[in-house]
Amino acid sequence: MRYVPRLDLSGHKSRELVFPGDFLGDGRPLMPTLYAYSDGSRTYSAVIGIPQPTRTVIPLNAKYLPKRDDIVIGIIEDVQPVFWLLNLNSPYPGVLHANETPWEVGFGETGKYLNIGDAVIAKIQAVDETRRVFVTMKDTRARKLTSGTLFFFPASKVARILGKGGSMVSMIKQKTGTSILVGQNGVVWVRGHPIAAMIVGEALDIISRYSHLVGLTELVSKYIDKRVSELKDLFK
Amino acid sequence: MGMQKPPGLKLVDENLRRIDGRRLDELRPIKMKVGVLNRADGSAYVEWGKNKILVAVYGPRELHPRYMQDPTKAVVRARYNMAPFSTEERVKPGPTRRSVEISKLIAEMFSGIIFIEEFPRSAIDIFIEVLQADAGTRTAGITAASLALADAGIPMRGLVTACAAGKIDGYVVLDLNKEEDNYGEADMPMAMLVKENRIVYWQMDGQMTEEEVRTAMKMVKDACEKIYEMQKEALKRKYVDLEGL
Repeated sequence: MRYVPRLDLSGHKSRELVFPGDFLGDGRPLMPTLYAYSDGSRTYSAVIGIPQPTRTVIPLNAKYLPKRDDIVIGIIEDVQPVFWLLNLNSPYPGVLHANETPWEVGFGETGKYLNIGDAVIAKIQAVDETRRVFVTMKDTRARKLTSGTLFFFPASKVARILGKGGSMVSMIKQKTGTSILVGQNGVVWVRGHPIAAMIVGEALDIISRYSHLVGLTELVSKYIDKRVSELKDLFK
Repeated sequence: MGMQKPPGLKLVDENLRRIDGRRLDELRPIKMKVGVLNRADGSAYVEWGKNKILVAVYGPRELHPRYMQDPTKAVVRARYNMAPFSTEERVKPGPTRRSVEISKLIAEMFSGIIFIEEFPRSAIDIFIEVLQADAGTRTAGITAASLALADAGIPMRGLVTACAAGKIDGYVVLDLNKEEDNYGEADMPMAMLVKENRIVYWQMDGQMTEEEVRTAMKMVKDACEKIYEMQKEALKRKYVDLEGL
């Protein structure tokens, strides 16, 4: 656990929350969802989360379930002669085949390109019905990561980390002078001054922990300002 | 049950009070806290009378060994374990006939409540550690486990609430403690989905008449409604009141 400071939360209130089994409304959910269920005529929540007008719930805590075309950050956890297995911060590892990379990888040469512990930006190519996941690096955004810091969060926090129209993440970038990439799987890649990256990590922890509070952007913004001024001597 | 009652021991006195001063249908004091462990996906701690129980939940996560994976649904695994220091006489570490049975039943019960078909090939692990025992640990464990599962964000039909009733000195009573369990005539743990009014777990040890079982079930049902409110309060304390966040 990283250092997460105690915050003054006075004046900050939680959004309305529902708990498993709570009634959401008459009728079925208006969107397919894992986080609400219906008996045909009434819909109930299946998780702790924020209820939506569509009779669904945004969960506070959820594992990443891979979806086609998602851009994710994965960590190599196994190297085989023609493919790698990627930890996607999910219950399901991703298979990256040698043919799905921008390199010409010969049989048994996978280890020359990516090894255990390496991180890559990749795209989810396909997910089958038993949730076997295939990822590809044949995408302009995909690459191997060679610098920076990674932070891990539940995938349900990604939307709050990004903020409306990316407002939260661009505020953090601007205030700390870092470059940030948020994978759909909840892995965040931060490049910049090590102290700045540390502050970003703390800010992300606050977002993750207090994601259901009203006025979150303001809370995070104030915190970053405070930390940056406290640590400005270290930015050399 | 099973143990010889010491001569002269009265479990219920002439004012219908029990040895710890409770009425026949009174619960022991219950304290619940959610999110007590940082490493687990979800966790809960429950103090129920003298019982102290810690539950950690992990998952859904990759299931190893792979031959145990089910391509159609998640596998729920549970481990109910009593700490060596949890009772007056030391408990030998490791699974016992009793703990294996309780673990199996708890895993099967939660399989029916969690939406396991949403997570094929994965595992959901529930670890119930009894730190201090004073009868009724499985019901307290189930109550805590459902809080930990909710904390972990695992989709399920609702919170499971459990409580026991039994028979002592000829009276049907709620929530037996150690002495009542040892020297009483029957013990009946039960778990339910309060909102759906559905029983999901039911065991009985000892002997009761059909009428007594009905009374006991009614008692447990009423108690579960109270415990359910406590469970929701415990979740609210973490997420709405931001206690310990």
